[in-house]
Amino acid sequence: MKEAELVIVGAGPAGLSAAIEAAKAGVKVMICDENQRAGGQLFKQIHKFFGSRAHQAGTRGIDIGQNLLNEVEKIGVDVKLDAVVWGIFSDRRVGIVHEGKNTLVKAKKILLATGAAENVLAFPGWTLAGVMGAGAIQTMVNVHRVLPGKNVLMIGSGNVGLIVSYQLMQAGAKVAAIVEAMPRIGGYAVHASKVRRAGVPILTSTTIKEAKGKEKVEKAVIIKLDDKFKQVAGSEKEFDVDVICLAVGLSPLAELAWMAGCKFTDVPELGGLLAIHNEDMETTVPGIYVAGDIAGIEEASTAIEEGRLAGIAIAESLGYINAAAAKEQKQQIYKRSDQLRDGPFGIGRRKAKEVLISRSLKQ
Amino acid sequence: MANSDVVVIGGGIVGSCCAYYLAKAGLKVKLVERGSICTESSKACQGHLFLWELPEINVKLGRESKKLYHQLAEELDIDIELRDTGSMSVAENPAGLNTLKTTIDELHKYGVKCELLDAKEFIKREPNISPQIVGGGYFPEDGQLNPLLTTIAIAMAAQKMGVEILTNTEVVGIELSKDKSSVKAIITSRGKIETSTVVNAAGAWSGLIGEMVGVNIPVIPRKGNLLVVGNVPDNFINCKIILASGYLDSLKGDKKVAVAANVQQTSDGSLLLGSSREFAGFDKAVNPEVISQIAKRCIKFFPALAGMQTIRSWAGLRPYSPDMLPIISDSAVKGFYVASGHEGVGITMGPITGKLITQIIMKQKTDLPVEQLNVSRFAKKK
Repeated sequence: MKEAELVIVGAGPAGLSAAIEAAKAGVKVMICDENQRAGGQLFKQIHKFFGSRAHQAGTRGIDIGQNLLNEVEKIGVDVKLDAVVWGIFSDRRVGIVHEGKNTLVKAKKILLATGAAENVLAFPGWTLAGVMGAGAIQTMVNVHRVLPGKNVLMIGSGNVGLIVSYQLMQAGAKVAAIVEAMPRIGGYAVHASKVRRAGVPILTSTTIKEAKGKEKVEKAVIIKLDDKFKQVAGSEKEFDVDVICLAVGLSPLAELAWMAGCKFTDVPELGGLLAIHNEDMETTVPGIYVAGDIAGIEEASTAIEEGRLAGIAIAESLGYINAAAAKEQKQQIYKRSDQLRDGPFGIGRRKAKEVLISRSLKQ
Repeated sequence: MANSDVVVIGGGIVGSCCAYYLAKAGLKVKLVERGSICTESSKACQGHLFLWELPEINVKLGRESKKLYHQLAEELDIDIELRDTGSMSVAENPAGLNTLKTTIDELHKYGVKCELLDAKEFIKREPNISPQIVGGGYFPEDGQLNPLLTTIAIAMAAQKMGVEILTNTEVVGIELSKDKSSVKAIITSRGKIETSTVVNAAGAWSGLIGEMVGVNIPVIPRKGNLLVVGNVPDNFINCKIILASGYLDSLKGDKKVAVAANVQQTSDGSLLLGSSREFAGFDKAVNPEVISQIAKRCIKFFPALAGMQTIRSWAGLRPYSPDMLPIISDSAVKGFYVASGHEGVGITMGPITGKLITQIIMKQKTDLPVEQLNVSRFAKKK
């Protein structure tokens, strides 16, 4: 059986960052991704990130992705694309189908950085052509440069809903409105202001009632919600749209962690059931780590920090970094992560993350 | 805990059937189960009613049991998805076909309906089979059911008749009389139950229960891995159960791991791909090398499977009996009865096992001769 020091599943921001840190320290890293290209969702992020300089504020997601890829290439990480990890078995054996061939690799350490999947919303007409997830629209618009329709209704006012609305407008579509079931806008004010200035109404306490159309979306009916989230009869409004975009959150892609026997806990603020992990990102199964959206739905910047943290912790546990040096590097990451999890938006996630980590101590 | 006429140990298909028929006979029954009803081997299997496993006694047990399933299907509150599907066996080479022919000839002697098919006829019936095959057999008496629904439905029916089902209750000891000749009580993780009669239906774990009373039950766990393929067209296979020749060889217990192709389509359309037989102690982890071998072997017979996706895999522990016969009997300890060792035919033989155990306990004439199935055949010679 083939052997590896570290197998990373998922070459998105978390996986690539972990690969860089671990390889820098001397760990031999194999990173697998089922896609034809590494970078995860970063290559859809044509907008500039913001925050502090340490988090590459002002840099576009695609450039951050390219920088990570360049670094991975420079350090000499074994990057396997078109490589589906189909199972994790006892003794950290990883089943990989790479370019159509099945192999079993015994790994000393495994990092799961598999990311998340979009949530969907069911309503009458939701199976009509033209009802799409925000991620799919980003891929079409930003990667393949194909406009999915001319008039869009956006469901969800989190950062994804706001940013994708703006990107759709940049690409030439008209966004009729953004509807939000909650009484307030979910995403950052800076993004919300931008789309509002462009003339897009953001309708809070409102949801989609129905999509109408013969074979594809022709109209969308929205409806007001009262303070108990009940639809208010008679408050319906109709829009002539050909696309309804769903930006209603993400759920961690945690199948491999379940299969590996990791213990889970429910943390709604971070996306639901999550693999319990400690401050080193190690799960309840020794030698199996998580980082990025699988460890709690956050942003690319936090995924990068968590990836780095896991990379350093793994290098330390394999004896490539001594405890004192690892501690110093980890402290810097904790500090930067706390900065990311700050302010009215971040503090809830920070507290939730603390709860998650405290549960690992009970295990 | 209150006393009981009979305590059944084990909430799989065999234990549930024993509790059902004992209650039907008017006895006060408790069923104790370490986990929940149907959480081990009975839920890890394919649900094939396999009526042509030799020797003759197995054929008879299977047949009687299938009749009982048809009665049960009428009585139970849940649809157990019982279907008279028949089954087929396919041979990849002349030697395999020859073995099949010998088996079919012997089965004919016992009045089992079955026939040998040439390659042309087989391919006509199953157009998705590999054109490389040389022939096969058809066994119209076989059937299929949903093992999880069946076990739960039977346990619920037993409960309705007054059986007290104690889940999350592990047997930690059995109290015998001073001279160790008879059962007095069982000790569980939740207290003691006074009883003069215990049925050991603990499947792969029944040997451990036997040790508690000094009865040698050489039943050991034999792991089986399965794969599930979803979204399969309804007509992918016409006969819903197709075994490759070599399946019977894989049952012979002299190899650490044996793999055979066994393709079954369930009522909801999914394909279950088996099967393997592996001695690995009580480890229930899926063996990735074994499931790869199963997939390869199944693709050999159904090349189109190569383009389909497996959605799940799991493993369970069959109760392996060294002479390939189940144990349905009393024992040297008065009041200690054994219903175990069915290996791959626990689902097939569940109801007849429950009925025979009840008849043995009630000292009635048994529907079938049971001497051959007595646990005393494994008694250590003094």
